Amino acid sequence: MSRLVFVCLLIFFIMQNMFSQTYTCVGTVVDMQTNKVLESAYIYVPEIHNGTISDENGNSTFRLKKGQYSFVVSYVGYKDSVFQRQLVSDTSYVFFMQPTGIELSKVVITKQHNVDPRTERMDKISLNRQDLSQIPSMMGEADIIRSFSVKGGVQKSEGVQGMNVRGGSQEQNLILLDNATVFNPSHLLGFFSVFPSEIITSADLYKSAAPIQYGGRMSSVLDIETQSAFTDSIEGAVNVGLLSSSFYTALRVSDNSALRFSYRKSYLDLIVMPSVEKIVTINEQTDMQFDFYDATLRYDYRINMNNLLTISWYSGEDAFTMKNNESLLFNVVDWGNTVFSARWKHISSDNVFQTLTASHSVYDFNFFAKQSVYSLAVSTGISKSSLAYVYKKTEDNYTYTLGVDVAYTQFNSGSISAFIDSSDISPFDSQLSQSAEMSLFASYTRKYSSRFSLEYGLRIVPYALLGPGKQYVYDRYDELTDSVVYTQNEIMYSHLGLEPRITATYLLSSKSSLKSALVRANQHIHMVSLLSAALPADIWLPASSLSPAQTGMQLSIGYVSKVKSEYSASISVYGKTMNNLVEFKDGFFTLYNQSLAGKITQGTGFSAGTELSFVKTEGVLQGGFSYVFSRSLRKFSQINDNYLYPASYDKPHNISLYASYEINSKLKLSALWVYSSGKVYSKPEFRYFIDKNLINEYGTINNSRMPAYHRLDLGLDYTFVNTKKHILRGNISIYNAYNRTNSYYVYYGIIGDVENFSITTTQDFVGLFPILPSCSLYFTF
Amino acid sequence: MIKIRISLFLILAVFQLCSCSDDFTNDSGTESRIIVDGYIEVGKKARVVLTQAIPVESQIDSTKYLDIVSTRANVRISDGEQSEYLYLRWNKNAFPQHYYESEKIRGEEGKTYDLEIMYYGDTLTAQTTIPEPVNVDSVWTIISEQDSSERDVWFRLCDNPQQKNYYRTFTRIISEQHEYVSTYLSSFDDNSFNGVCEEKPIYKGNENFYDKSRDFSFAVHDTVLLKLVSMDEDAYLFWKNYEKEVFNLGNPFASNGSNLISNISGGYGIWCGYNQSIHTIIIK
Repeated sequence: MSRLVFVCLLIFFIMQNMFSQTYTCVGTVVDMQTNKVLESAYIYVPEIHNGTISDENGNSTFRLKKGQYSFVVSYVGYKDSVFQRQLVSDTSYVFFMQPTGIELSKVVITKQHNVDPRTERMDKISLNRQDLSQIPSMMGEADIIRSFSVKGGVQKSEGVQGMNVRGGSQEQNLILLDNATVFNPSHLLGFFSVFPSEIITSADLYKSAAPIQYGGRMSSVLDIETQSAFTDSIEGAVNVGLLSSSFYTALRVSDNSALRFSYRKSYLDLIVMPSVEKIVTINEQTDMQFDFYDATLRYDYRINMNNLLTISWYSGEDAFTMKNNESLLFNVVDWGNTVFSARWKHISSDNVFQTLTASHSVYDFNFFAKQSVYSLAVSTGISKSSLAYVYKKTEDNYTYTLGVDVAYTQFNSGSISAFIDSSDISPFDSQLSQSAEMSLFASYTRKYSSRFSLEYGLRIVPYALLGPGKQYVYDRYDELTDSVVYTQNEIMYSHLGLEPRITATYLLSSKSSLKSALVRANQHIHMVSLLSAALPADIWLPASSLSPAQTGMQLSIGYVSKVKSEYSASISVYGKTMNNLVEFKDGFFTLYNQSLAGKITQGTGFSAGTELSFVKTEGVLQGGFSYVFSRSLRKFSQINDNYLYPASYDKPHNISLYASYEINSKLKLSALWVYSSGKVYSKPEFRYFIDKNLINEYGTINNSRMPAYHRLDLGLDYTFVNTKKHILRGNISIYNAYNRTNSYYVYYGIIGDVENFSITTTQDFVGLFPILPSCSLYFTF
Repeated sequence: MIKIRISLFLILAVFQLCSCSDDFTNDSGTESRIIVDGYIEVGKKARVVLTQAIPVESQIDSTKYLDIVSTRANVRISDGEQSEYLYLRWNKNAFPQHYYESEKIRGEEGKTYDLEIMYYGDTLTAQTTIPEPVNVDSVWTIISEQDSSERDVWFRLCDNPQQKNYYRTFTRIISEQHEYVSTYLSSFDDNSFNGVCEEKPIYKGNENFYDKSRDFSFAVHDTVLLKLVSMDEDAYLFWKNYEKEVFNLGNPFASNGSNLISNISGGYGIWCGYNQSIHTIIIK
């Protein structure tokens, strides 16, 4: 009897397992062209008469019994597809979707974004790969930072590296490439950013309140994500241009992993060097060369349906060489970034996303000059290692995020070695320092009604400057009175940063909304620039007792409206204060014989402005217009006698007008016109003779403005071949199409004969880039 | 309704901001700008050149000479024991051709010299001290790397470890130049060789800014006077920055664009005392 019961139970048990066991199946919907995940795609499984929508990571989860299923996936702009799969265990699938625009011979209408600008985060600008092709590419290179600069609130000045966001300086932008910090995002006088556009999938710029896990800089966060490496088998593209060429390739390593590699190299002597040689007044015996390269590597591994591992690496360098045979002067300057990140993303079925990121970033700058027997080598640099954990839970009406980020940063604020022949005349020891910073953050976003939602958050950031090191003490006459020596890991200076923020969104109607953000920010890092212009001889410094942590507040209010589905308009107003900004006391610094100590001073910055923009995002004709009025002022007790003066990038008026027009499926035209107020400069009050030379005496700082800057760029794209497997596209672009000489530098000249007292003194504005036409060819496989 | 009100508010805000003016000057007013270029050497007369500032964009010819070179000032120096009004001199080979020179008071090591200039109601004052002498061990020439037909001049200098020393170098090619010309990178301190002896090269300087030739060597058969001086800290800071401004002007990739730190109270320029050591070299 008992044996019968046992057998029945056994059969029953086996039958239960056979017929009622369910498995978890996670489907990820991906664009087969760009490998970008598609949010809000609809996946329907007819066998269970049920469907679901993919989340922001492109995922949707099903619990199904073992068996054969059809997954019907549909998404606006893509061909509806059915994927047949046999489910035998817990699995994850990737559903590759093909955009419908590809094979149609008639005009394509594609949406640029699926995000509603009304509910989009305040002060956020998002760009994806398609947006990059909207403005004319320069020399065949579409550029992320230049694309942001036409949207309003972001200034990209010609010939200057980095960007200025809402009146903040360049190092106040946290720039992330796959979550690793990039310290210098520019190549070659800021002409290009270091991010090759082919490998970027999306870029988000936050001008005020960024998501809570980002912080540490006062003005903005630029979060750039590269394309995932996942691909069907192998794919890639080659871009050959007049100025540089690049290629990338992605390979499938296994069912669950893939690798992507890219490389870009310039050969600038053809076009850019002649322009540079023209403005630098060195005689014809001088020979100059400039080059840069970028390389990236990315490995994606889907461990299982809930876990994804991504490893990203980037390395790039610029090198500038100058030789003058007559004076035996030889000069080499090189600088570059290397960044690395490893991210583990975990998704749970209860809408919890967790990310653990380890990253390491290095930037260094090296200068070497040799003239006859005298040689000088200067280097500066910064390196940062960090580990961050973020936990995010989303429900219908609320989302909360919390986590911790720990970072250790090492600074080289000036290492010099100088020699005459072989005798060492190095003036001082290397200025090395190190700091530790932890960020604890939490934010809570809640929808209080169908119209109103609020986000509040707090970051708590303890920071310490650690020994070994020497701290100098100065009296009020700037005389060195003491220097204190610290040992390994002894705390030299500490600061607790508190960063509360609150952002609110109110939907006024189905078409418009009002948003506001109030944010407090801290920055435990400073940067001062050694030279008056573009070579990135920058010194990164940690916050210390002589240069305390920067703090500031920003309030912004905005209104967004979608006029029709394809038009939207927005206006925002902002005001910012920034404390403990850092400058050189005397406005200059001669690194070769002085150390930094005692040469830096602190002050305050104020910035306010209004940003207006209109965009059209659908149709054959797309484009936008933005107008920004902004002022950025500084007040330093030891500069300009404590009077307010304009920051060097203060430009009250900025206008951008851009458009792209698809004449047919093969031909597209694009144009961009930008206007901005002239750059401020310090005009001398008068000149005077010392010996037989004329010396400038400068009055107040930045008291004059150069003539206004404006420029037209034009671009033409022609697609020769456009099939499932290959695209061949040619591009012609003209930078500065009407060849305006936009002032970049002021040159004070003397013509004549001093001894005969017959002299003409002049002030000329020198421009940087004249009309620059170029072409390039792009091919994918 | 609320939409219109919000738009109005924001538009008004824009106009308010647009009306911000660009004028943040701390205008110190117009005043007569007198430039002093003066020095006194051991055993020599004090020499002071006075000029007026000129506009940034201007055209000057010899008719404006007297507007620029001041010949109507009262210039007085005193060494703590005696004082003297300087005489206005003229020398056709000098630049400028008019300058003020002492007669009785000559430079002496260790003394402090006060300078006072009175010009149409403005008074300028300055002070300098002549430091201890330069200890030049030897001077020699070597064949130039750039051009084997020319020679580079080198010297060996020994520094006093007890104090901070500042030096400057000049050359004068007797057959070609009437006055000493400061060399390229002429001003230096003893930071890198405090208390020891060091060998240094001389880079022949350019007489004026627009002569851009960087010919640092000397021609064979020239007779060259090499003058090395020691000076005080104010003079060092002034001449060091003067060289940077002159050399880097016109180059956007170099650091320039700042004012010279003058030790003239009420004016601009420099008043410095030199303790000089002169060596004659026949370039062979």
